[in-house]
Amino acid sequence: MSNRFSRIVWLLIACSVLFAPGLAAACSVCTTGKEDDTRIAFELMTAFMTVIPFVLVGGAFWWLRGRLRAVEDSHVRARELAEAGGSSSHVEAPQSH
Amino acid sequence: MTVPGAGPPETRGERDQLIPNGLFGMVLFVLAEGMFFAGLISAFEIMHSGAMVWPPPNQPRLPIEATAFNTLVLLVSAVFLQRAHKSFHRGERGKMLRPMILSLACGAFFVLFQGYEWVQLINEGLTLSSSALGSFFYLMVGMHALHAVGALGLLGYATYRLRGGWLTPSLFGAAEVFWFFVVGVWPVLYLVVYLR
Repeated sequence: MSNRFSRIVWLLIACSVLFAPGLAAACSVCTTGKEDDTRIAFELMTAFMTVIPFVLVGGAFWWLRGRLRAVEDSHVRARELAEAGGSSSHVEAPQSH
Repeated sequence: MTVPGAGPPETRGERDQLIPNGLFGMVLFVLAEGMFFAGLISAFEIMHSGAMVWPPPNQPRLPIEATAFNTLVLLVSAVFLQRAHKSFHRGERGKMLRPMILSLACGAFFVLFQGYEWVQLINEGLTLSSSALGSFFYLMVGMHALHAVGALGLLGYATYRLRGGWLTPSLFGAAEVFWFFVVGVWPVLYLVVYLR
């Protein structure tokens, strides 16, 4: 290989690395060049897995709080009815969930 | 689950039931299963982000349109169950049977249609070991199908007890929470797994 030809080949390789890093690093069996995507996915999924338990448990507590309030309201209504001398002294707790 | 009695004078001192035990147990189960599916989605997203080509070469395309129709059927089953829910809490148990049977029928159609799709995909070369797509597809969709079958069983048992006239709020609540969970998770899985 002549010295001049060798220089051209090296120049082309350097250009491919500089201007098309994806192509230069392309490989059918590895994921070189995808590190950024993977890093972003790891960060997003870490945030997702951190938030999800709070959302689920918070949602359950919010729902239970609503149920507790509904039961308390029904008891207050029953007490008011009893004090007003109504025949019914007990109101069924709400069944809705 | 109970709370200390704050009820009417004649019941004070006793413990009032806040929610039926069966329903509370099912809510805890569904919370745990929610985390399980969140973990699967997270693993899938990280694997997908590292793939150079998606879907992997020589793998069939997932049936997006047919599954969209199947998703619609599943959502319709939730609408029927919601109608049964309203009738139950109005005390109109006679009006519950039809929507519950329709909900069961839609759910059964969804599971059977998924099975048919799986057979097609296996014939086209998408298997558990053919690619990362195949592994995650059968794991995620398969776990959802397993939950769907379990929820259908519970819903079927609730329907059977409704016909016998001894359906309790605890059983009905547990069955509907489980089914709503199955219906709620599916669109997320569809977006994550199919629409890629």
